[in-house]
Amino acid sequence: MAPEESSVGKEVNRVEGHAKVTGSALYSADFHFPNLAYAALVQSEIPNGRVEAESLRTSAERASRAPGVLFVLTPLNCPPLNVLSRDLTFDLPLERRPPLSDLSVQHVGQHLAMVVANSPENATDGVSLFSLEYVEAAPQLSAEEVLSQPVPADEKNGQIRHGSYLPDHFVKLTEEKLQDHRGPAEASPSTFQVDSTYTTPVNAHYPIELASTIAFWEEGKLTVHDSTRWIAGERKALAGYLGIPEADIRILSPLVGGAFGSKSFLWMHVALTAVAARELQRPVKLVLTRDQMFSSTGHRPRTKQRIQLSAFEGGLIEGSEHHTLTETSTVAHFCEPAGLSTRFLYHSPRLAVSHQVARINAPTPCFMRGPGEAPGLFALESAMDELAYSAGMDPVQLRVLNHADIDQTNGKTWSTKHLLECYEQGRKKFGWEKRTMAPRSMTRDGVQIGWGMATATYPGRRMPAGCRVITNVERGVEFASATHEVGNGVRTVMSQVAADACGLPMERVSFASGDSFFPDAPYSGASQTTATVGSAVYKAAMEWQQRVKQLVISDAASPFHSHDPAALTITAGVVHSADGFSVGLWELLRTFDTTTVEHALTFDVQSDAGDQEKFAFQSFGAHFCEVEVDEEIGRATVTKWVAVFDCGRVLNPKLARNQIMGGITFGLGMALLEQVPYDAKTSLLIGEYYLPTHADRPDFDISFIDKPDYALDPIGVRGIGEIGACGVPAAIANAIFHATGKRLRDLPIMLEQLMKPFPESTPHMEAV
Amino acid sequence: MMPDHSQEQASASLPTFPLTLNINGETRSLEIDIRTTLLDLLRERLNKPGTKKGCDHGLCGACTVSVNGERVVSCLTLAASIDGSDVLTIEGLADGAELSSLQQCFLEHDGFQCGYCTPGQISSAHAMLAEHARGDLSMVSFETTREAVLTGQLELTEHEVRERMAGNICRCGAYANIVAAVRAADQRGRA
Repeated sequence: MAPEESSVGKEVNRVEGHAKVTGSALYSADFHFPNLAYAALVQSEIPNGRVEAESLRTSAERASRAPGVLFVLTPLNCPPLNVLSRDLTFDLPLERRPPLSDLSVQHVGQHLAMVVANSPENATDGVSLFSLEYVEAAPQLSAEEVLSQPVPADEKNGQIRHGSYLPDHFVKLTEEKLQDHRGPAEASPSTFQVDSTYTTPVNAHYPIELASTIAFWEEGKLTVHDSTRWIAGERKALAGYLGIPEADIRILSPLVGGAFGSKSFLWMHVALTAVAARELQRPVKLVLTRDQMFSSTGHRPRTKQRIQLSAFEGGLIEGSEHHTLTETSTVAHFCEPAGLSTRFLYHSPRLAVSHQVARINAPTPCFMRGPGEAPGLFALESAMDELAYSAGMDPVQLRVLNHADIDQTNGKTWSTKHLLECYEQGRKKFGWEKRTMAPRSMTRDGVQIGWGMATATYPGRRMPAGCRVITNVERGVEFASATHEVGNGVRTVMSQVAADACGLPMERVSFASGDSFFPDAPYSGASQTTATVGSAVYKAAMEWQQRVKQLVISDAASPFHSHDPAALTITAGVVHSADGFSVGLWELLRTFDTTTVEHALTFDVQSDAGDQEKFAFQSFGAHFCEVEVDEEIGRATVTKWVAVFDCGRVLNPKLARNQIMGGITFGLGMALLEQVPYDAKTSLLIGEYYLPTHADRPDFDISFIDKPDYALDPIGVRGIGEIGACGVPAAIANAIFHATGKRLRDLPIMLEQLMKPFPESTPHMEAV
Repeated sequence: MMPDHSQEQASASLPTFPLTLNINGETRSLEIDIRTTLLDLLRERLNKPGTKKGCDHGLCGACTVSVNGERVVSCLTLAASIDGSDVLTIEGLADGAELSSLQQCFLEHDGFQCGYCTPGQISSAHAMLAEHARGDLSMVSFETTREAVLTGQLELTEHEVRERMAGNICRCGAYANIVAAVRAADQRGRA
């Protein structure tokens, strides 16, 4: 296909962009229904113990008498909700304990009641009338406490569990081993070592759209508008909780205002909204407050990671160890898989990776952009910088030396790998050769300058998905799949893929998402949507073109009647025969019987996960950055960023650059600003969660190798949602080391660390 | 269709307030709960959900609108406190089907991803361009010349836009594109 006729590869504006700039783009909370009632949540204020039933009862009665209050749901009157199937809770972060199912409190911010009123103000007022009393128990608030104390017995038939454990694999991916080793147990004596411990704090996804739900029932069937990024999972969870068939539930997730890993898995508030709507027999709307977003939609849990890299003189790595201690709640499983990429990122004949998870009295964590890689590469890529300085080698040179030519976890070759080109192009664009190796050797305008780099990596993933095609002779072809537009641009790039594979201009195709009535798609996460849904859309569009060719050769009045379909080509909406005859496809279809055309060209397809046996699929990239450190005021400013990525084919460079830029900004926040400010004693939220603003981001130079990976999927892509963020905190920490000589291993890096005198052993004031 | 809650609320024995606002050129008079924020009023009573709730306590800027030409965070603006005012929301920026130059520039520069902060970014930028045009200074302005500061004749540099837009958070991180869009709209406005 001639490039000018292709949509893929072009800088196409977002198809929903017009709606987004005019305010007509609708998100879950933007829908209105007659007789809508408003819900607000009461949440626990202690980390462990039991809420007094009498205080719940009197509070609920007081709230019930308040103006406009219609209904109050508490554990005392909540219809019993079912326990979810083990399949959902065993290796996914859905809670084992149904909401409002007992009076036990397992963390601050646990739902204890829902107040429903005729206005948001009255619902909020009703919540404020709650005054709960608790019998407090000693909480376990950190992994260290859990490991040093006796393990309490399970409660509620294992719904509430304590102690720590060593999970086998990440989510349902049995090959992504959380306990892994290869080679000898001990390091070769002829090596030198880097042995460092790194910590990362609790991070919040902080999508700007608050989690929002509107639920209503019609003749025993439930409809939910929800800001979810996993329609199919939510339908399954709600069917489980409520004990109704999945077929009786419709989930609508129109546009989602950012998710970054939240807005799925923790649907307790959604289930309660559905219960309230059923009790009241009217639509109920719940919008979580910003504070509730910290406790009720997941977070990235804390990690403490020990890395040991041993290398021979000259920098060749002999062995890598990466041991992670992390935390989950007492009611759900989650493991932040920080060590996964240490298993294969660098050549390492000896390896040991472990993950230990401690159950603490805190809200349930979940996936957050770059789960595993974001904190894990902070540790590994910082350790690589430490190794480079120990070996007296340029950090890029060390990485090139230890390049992994195959996937050492399974011996497979990479489907494609262009990491060395990423390093080379990044170095050149950045001007890395002007870097002086010694820490504190670069200054500008009286402040320290540091240049740092890190490798980025994230798996290439693909899962099964379905796609519906609906052809309308007036409007065009609509493709639909129960995926989610979370800002990833899925509607735009799927339209591009569909247009090219059909042989139509973009104006003739559209892509709809966000409705459980569409064929299933997986969660919008793990950077898999474009490869996964794209494969289904591509298959559907190819099928559409075959069917349309059959139509144009079958109709007796068609100029292509009885032609060989293999000799016809369709590009940019025009049918061409081998002998050079061309007719506009749409004009032609309109001369046919409309019902026949629309019937023949409306169908569903299902695409599988492809053949993932032969190759290892992994995306790579290289980050290079400049950080200015003003030590007098303890400020680190990231001024310049060069990143080069190897993520397969780029479908829309405009959207791809934007998403990578967003990933880098996300990582910048993790490096320098973000931590959920829990009080260590009470675990109550104190203070605010700082995010990067307009004023905080660097100047970007983002580019792609742009070589397709057709082994993963027929459109040659690997996802780009997470990789932008991966490696960013290490690149910044490494630049700060270069600027200041301080190796800072605890995130976020804050002003007190930057203001500390250097070197630390030197007395701050010289003796007079 | 908007549900009519006015009767329910009137029966709720709480004081109400007779409010008149001119919203996007249209005069609206209604009885409101005195606790209602401008944000909830727009979204829940006036069927104008284009203005978004991101934090509900003045941190994120997603709910930014103009009141009498000045940008405010509507979540911290009690509706009763601006009786008689002109309110301009994202729904009022386009001229019919014709996008404003700011909206067009956001579209072309891909100044968003999820789009949820976008009404606030555009509304904020719209008022900010007016602030800049009349010579309001920012902290960054003092890094320029004495002459520029005294006259308020300042170039709208990238640094200026970033400083003046720092109250609008974009978690997707489309900041560079947002600034490019605002500067392009400023250039078009001068052309």
